[in-house]
Amino acid sequence: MTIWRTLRSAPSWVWPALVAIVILALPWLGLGYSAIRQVQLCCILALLVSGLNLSFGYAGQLALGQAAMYAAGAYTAGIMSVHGQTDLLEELAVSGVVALLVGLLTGIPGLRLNSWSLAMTSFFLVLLIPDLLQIFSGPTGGSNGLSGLGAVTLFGQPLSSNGYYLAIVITTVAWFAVMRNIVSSRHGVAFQVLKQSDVLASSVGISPYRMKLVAYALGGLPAGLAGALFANLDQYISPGSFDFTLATTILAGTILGGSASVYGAAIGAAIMQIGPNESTSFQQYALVFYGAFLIVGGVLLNGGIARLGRTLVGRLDRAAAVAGTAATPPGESGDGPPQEVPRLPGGVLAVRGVSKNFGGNQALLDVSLSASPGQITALIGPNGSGKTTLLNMVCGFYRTDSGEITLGEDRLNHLAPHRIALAGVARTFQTPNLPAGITVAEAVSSGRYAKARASMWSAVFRTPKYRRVRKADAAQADQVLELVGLSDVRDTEATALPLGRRRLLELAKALIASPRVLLLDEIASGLDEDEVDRIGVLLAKFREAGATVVLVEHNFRLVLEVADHIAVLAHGQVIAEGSPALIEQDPRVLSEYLGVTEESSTLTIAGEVAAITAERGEER
Amino acid sequence: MTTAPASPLLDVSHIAAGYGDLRAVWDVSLRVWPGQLTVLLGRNGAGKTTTLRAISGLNRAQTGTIEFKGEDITRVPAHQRVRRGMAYVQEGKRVFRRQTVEQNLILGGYVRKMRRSALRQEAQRVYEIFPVLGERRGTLAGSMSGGQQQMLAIGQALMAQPALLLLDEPSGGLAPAIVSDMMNRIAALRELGLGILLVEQAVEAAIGYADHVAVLDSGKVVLSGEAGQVDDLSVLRDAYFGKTAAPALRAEES
Amino acid sequence: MMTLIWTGLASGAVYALVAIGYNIVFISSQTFNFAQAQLLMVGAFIAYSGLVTFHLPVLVVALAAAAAVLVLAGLEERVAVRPVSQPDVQLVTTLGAATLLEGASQLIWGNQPLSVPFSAGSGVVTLLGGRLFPVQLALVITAIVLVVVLTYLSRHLKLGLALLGMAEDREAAILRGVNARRLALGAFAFSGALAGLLGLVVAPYTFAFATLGSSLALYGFVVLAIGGFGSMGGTLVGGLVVGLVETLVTRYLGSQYADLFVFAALVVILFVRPAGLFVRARERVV
Repeated sequence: MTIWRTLRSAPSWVWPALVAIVILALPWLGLGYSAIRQVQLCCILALLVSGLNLSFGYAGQLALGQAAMYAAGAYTAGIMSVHGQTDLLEELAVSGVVALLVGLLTGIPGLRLNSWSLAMTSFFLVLLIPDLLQIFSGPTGGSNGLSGLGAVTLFGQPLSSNGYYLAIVITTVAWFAVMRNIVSSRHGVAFQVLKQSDVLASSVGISPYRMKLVAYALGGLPAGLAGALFANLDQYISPGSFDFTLATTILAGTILGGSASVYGAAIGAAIMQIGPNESTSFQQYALVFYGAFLIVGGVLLNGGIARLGRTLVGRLDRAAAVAGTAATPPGESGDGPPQEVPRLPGGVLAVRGVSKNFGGNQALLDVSLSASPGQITALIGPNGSGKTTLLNMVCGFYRTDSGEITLGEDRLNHLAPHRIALAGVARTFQTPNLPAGITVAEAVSSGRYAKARASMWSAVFRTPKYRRVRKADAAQADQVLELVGLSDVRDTEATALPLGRRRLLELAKALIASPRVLLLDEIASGLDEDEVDRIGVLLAKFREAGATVVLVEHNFRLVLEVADHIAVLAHGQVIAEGSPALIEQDPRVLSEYLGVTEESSTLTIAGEVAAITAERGEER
Repeated sequence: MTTAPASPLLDVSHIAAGYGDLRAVWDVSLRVWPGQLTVLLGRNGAGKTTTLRAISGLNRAQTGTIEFKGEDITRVPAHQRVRRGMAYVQEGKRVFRRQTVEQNLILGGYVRKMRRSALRQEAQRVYEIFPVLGERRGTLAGSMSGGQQQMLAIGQALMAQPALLLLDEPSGGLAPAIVSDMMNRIAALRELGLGILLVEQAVEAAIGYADHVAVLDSGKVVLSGEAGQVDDLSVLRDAYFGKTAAPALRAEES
Repeated sequence: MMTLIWTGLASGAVYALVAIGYNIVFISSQTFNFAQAQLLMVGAFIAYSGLVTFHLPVLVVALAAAAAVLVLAGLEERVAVRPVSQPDVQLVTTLGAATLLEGASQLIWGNQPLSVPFSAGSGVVTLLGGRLFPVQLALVITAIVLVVVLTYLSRHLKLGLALLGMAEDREAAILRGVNARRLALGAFAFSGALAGLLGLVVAPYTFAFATLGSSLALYGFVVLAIGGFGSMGGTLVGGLVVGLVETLVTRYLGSQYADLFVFAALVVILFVRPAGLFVRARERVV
């Protein structure tokens, strides 16, 4: 076990780096020609699969047009080569950009479509490849393929076959390093948030459109690189290489290797490439196997081989007691000394005359209310009263028919949801929506993703700016986690937390971006009394820190305990507003909740029954 | 009000239920007798709908037992509970809006071993209880008013000739005049021998017709007994607004 | 010109038949079965084996095809569809089923297109001023009749009402006593049986050709997109549009432009009406 601990103390990139070095050295380790070729093809396939891993596995976009971007890259490089531009770096750069643009363009439909439509549309591209090649058969050679590529050069010198081998492996390794740096950074978490839900992404200020476009572009880039490398491999390309079988192979590689994984792409690609070549029966049965992999992989949803690998590593870690991997600690914490809450200057949230009609159903009618800093404003009301509609409207998911919503000086209505989040509106969700595979600290930090920015470039190269932002992420996360009492589970998987603690996580995430208003959507629902009490204590602290808190709640006890101001909604209108003591006694509120009318002078059930019986008696 | 016969039609005992790990019902016990109306009161968020869903089988009861007609149905799937004689009218008037009134009623009688034409005849009996449905039998359910849709929903349930009717806030979103009319009709169903479990938020509408009352708060029954014994509005109000931590009064427990 | 139109109608009918299969599954399980077209191809292969290899009577072959593909579809539902809850992943698993079927078909029948005779004659006829093969007319009639029959059945059979109810509100249907799971499986298997039967009509026109499955699947999807997800009548309109666009573009611009125009139609329709032309979109609920 000590051996394992020593091994694990090395940074995680050491192992893949060692593997890369071994692969680089293979021609000099005595590997024959055909084996070398297999490795080259593996690398190319690995690039293709990793692009899909990024757009599908991490960002959740089922854009299956990899084969088309591959073809675009290959033919771009081929045509450049035929016209004398044989420099590899130039070809890689141009092919990469072309494929990126193709990915972007063909992904645009995906911005508005559901996942099936995006998948089918992108899959359709594979059908178009031979047609487009035929239409432009002049430069591309049409169905005969493109030949006459010059020998590939680098800095003016032609590359030997071993030299080209190195070029392929280095390009592949470089891309994997880039992908690893992106995915393990806050951008990887942001992608996974997007994959989980567009709404979730918007709520932390991430523009789903923009993020999706980035995913499509990044998914296309490695395909372009792969294309350029492939074109120069045999100095000949034909349309037959870019067909449905390839598209299926890429998808199978993703699923088998593990879609939300960097190195899984390499493993999946290796199996898909070497399998059919090692065993003739595999080749014959190739399609059957691919189909089976897809079914089994999809059904078991086990995250592929990469997930198995992680589970194994995790078990060994626990057995060897590697630092920081104690089994999930049992619940309670946060009962320590009272924490100092940082200042949370809130803004004034004002809703004025807002109405909303859903095809004949008047959900809200001329609703006006406001929430001020240093106060907890509660919004209560029976089912169908319009509370949720109002909440969603403030967050930008519905448009107002009339009226306006402002936060301080800023107008919120008619802004896109992510812009509203950026303006300082933070909300929690009744059903906490958390991506699998991220830690509590990462989940909480995602609340700051859009507020404190660091570009993907900086993440790829791990620039000082990036490191600063990452440090700030961690520091802020630790601060809010301590505040809500979740410090002990900072490195646990977020989805492993029980409901009560996930609600606290939601609270922490909402807090980390120093919002100007906190919207809490039934944060107490489903919690036991102790958990509700803890939330009440936290809310009181936030109030003291000057925050504007809006509580949409059913839990009366919580509301009566912490709210400074209560607004009661019924049938889409505000029927009462005031302090808890007032609201508790307000006859209109009683009437809505209990169905007791004001007119009765003796408010007893017996009196009610008597009145009803008398009415019925009169009718007969 | 008649005295309760010996064995309950529905006997729910200490069930818990929820959605994922969001537990909405912690400990609920209640009973319904044939020809009697039990009213389950509580604010929303108290767990009333979850209770009905657990009884109907849409949600699994994580602990506790549910007995229907003397048999343990805790593990019986929802569609089979319908066959055994349980009909659940969900809140929100969930009829099939893209089908006509008649088609809705025929679907209501799905569990009966009868052909379409025979079911169309059966629908006459529903038209007798709700004449307005008979007038509109060819209308698409989606184009009717809320009150009519509610009647259709109840009519659908009746087509299955149930022994137990579960009603979830039938008064929801309806004008007061329609509500009292609705309640009259529902109460009259007792004469058909049906046991009825009525869930309501609006106390006044339901309390006048109840034979038994139970109040739910935060997933637990905090007050229960025969209607005649639960007649102090302030006690009811306290229970309603979560101020009663006292265990339930089971006056009729033997 | 009329000859061209007949070709377009016939092709469109084939795509519509695929789309009808999609719709049956979509209505009953809210799922998209990518393997639908491949199931049709299996039916075509069975037709080949039955009619050409074993010289069996048409009726026997029809029943055999329907039964065999029914079983395959049922297996697919249990193994690749029911265990999966996310729509994204369902696409992957049904694509896997399609790939598996394609691979198996190639192993059994090879990868050359196989010619299948049409039982009602193979001589060219003239109708409405255009020349066509009887099988083309049969395809068009089959598509229309199928849509009419299915629409009628869904409204007049208790089972049909139950299916429509399930599509609209699954829980409400369960509460009326409908065994939703079994019905979904049944509908899926039925779409398979239908595909098996239709194989006999489609094969003489398209040939029994394993790799055709993917392009049929995609074209069928375009029909669905144009006609509306879940609309039976829409498949006829969608089929008409796609078939005619494909044929006319091929004739006047060349075959390599046909896919492009169909693709363009797909993108335009999905942008303008994401749920298709015949289905009213619902108000978005967060």
